[in-house]
Amino acid sequence: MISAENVSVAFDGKIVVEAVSLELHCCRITAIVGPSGCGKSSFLSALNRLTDLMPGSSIGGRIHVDGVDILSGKEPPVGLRQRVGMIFQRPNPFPLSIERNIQLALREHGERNRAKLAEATEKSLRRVGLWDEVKDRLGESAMRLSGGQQQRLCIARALALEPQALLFDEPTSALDPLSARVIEDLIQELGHQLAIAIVTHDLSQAKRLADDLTVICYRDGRGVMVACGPATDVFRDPGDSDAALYLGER
Amino acid sequence: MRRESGLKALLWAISMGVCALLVWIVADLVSRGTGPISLEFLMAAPRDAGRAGGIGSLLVSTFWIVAVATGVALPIGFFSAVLLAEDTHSRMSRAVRSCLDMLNAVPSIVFGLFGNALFCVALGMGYSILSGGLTLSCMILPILIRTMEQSLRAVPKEQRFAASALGLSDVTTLFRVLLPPASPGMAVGLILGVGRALSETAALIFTAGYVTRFPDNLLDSGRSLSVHIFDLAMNVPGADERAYASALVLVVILFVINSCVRLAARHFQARLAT
Repeated sequence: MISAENVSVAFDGKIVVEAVSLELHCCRITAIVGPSGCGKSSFLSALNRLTDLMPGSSIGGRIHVDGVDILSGKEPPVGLRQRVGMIFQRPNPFPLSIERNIQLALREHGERNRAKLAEATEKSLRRVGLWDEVKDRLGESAMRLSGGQQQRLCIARALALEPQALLFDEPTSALDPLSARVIEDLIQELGHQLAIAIVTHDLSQAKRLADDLTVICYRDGRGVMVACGPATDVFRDPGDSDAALYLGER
Repeated sequence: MRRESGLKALLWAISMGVCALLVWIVADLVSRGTGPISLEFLMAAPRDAGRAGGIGSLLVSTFWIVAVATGVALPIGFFSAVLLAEDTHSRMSRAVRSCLDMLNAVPSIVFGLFGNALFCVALGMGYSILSGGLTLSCMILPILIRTMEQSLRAVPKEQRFAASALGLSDVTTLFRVLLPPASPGMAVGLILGVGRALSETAALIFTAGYVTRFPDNLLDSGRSLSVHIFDLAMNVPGADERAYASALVLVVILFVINSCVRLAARHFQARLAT
């Protein structure tokens, strides 16, 4: 379980998003929506400390993953990112073979047994429905796959580490509608197995996928959480004029 | 539409002009320089100030000078490029980049004087292949570092984020994720650096010296091929044909190195990508 309390993210001292509190639970999908640039992706990146890679970034508030405060510096980010994976807007497979894309992180985290690596590769590719499409060309470059296949490979790559949660940052916005639908179905399926957070601009997608919904809107030049709760409730009655405006407009 | 095709024709004409210039130079060298070329020419040391004999000793000296220069500059250049590519925003990295750009614009004769003062005199290496090679390594470092850095920075940021999101270490990210796509660009940097070292004259006159015999070791003085071409063309009457022959050999070496580095980069990229 991931719990964020009053989280804020700042770059070079300037707060871009603040006062975000939410909980991600196993087997539930939480959608985070809001206008462009309101800090949804920055907040998402804070949940597995990928913001550490962004120069000048700082995180305020408290984030607990399985009860451990990940901002205390006690847990190294490497272990955290194994447990909380992230999928990005654009598919970004490494310029390696399909097989090596899956196995690189496993090898990095100590798995050397070839049979186990092959087993994990097949398992994770099956989980994303890619196995039958690529099983005869695992040695081929991942760059030759289509955009949708590349995105599924990226999800398989993250799943190979057996994470507890996956964070999706607009995972379908760079894909054609057909590929986007496949990825959406996959997220829905994974939503029965893991804790999932998805940042999306597509409110109909949020409606289809989300069990819980968080709305972040602009106030005083920064993103602020204005609504949060079960998706059906928030869509029906956001309880905030900005959230109502945003959800209604779209 | 007509304007677009006119522009396209102009671009084609400019590109063909550049290619034609290269073909012209090579054709000129071939027509004037093939006469003296033989196995003996490639193996023997020059005689009679270069009017007779060959360029064997100069090829050996050139090889060692370029080997020292790239052997020293390549690792320093690579790791400096990695550091600069990772640390893009700090004041220190901006200062280093400015220094490199200024160094890149310094005339080679100035590097020659610097190399003479530091390596030949202060460090007591005298006029030697080692002094020449080390001076050239200082000269090619800026271009090596900047092209390698640009190649690494050209790899999309998302790749670094993806690697970190999977908990990959910096070393794995560098060698497994960033280097395969960056290696062709880095190879171009190496080709530019080696090309500059091979064709350098001014800096070597002050550091590696003029001696035409086969060098016994790196502390021996040795004349590079480009210095030899300069000497034959400017100071030795009646050696024009041999100057052209030497220039032709130099150009062939450059072509061979260019092709080898590109092939090696492609092989390296393919090997890393599996």
